[in-house]
Amino acid sequence: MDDVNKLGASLKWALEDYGTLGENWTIGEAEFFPRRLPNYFPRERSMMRVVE
Amino acid sequence: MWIGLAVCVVLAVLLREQSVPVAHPPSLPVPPSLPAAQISAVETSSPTPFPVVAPSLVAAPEVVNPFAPQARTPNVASAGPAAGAKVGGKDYTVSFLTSKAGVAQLMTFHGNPDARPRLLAQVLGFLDRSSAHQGRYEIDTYDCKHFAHKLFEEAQAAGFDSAFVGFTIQNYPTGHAVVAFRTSDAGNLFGDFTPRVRTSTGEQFPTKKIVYVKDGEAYVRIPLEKIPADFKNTASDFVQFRGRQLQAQTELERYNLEAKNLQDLNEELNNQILAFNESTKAFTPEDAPRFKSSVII
Repeated sequence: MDDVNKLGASLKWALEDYGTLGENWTIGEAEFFPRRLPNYFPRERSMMRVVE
Repeated sequence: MWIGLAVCVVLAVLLREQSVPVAHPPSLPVPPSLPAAQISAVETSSPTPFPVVAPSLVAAPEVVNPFAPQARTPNVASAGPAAGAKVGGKDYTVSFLTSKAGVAQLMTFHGNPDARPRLLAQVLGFLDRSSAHQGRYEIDTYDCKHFAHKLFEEAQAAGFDSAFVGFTIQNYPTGHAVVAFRTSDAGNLFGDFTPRVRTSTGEQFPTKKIVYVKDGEAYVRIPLEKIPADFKNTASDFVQFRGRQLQAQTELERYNLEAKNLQDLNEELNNQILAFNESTKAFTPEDAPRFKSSVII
């Protein structure tokens, strides 16, 4: 079911923090849901994946 | 001779026709097993309906609602869908990474087949009316993906073509979630409804922001209430706002420095006054007898 976590990865879904992290974000990779085809998040280390 | 000449002319024409290359559009390799309807869908579809590019750099992409019936095509990409995924269905369950290693979180997304791109002004009006920014952030329990999910659900229910967007942040083990709205006149507009927090006090401030999302570039936010009247959702809109923001920040820092210097000066003057008062504290009620005895009449 939770195949997004096969690698045992973790990710903190952040919020902006005045004066620290939130002020200086540089985007890494963005993923969109839904995509037109159903393999929405094909990257192996995706942060999210459609499961059903 | 005439016969020979005629033969030469015919040969020359035939050779010319063979030497002129005939331009044909390159044909895509199509698996023979795919029915015509699927082939058509594949040829007219781009890999992502919401390309990760600056809004100003692309025209509004082809209008195709991924939840609409025409999107219900079998997956033809090499990776293939996750097991059990509904192809083109209305509802999806998505598994997310969480802050705990090995622990995933599931969320269900309800797509609206009738959702369609709207005008920029309509999207901004919708965002202004939305209450999806209300709520208290708590990691994993109700974090940025929940705020984005709520906004996505509201948008779909209201018929706005939209997408949930998750992105990583360079140099930090964190991700963030926003919602992309496809407009019919200004590309993709990104909304961020996650509150801001002041770590020192834990205070949270509900906010609605229009943001700039592009891989490898700075994440720029414009509070919805500060969107200029002539906002067109272009990259330069964000660059200009960021420039004004940095200028205001510089001025604020300068002001704060001056205020600090004045405060230090004030403190120093107070100390001098106290020292002066201490040094001139020659006459007190206790000193009266001594003063009286020293007076020569």
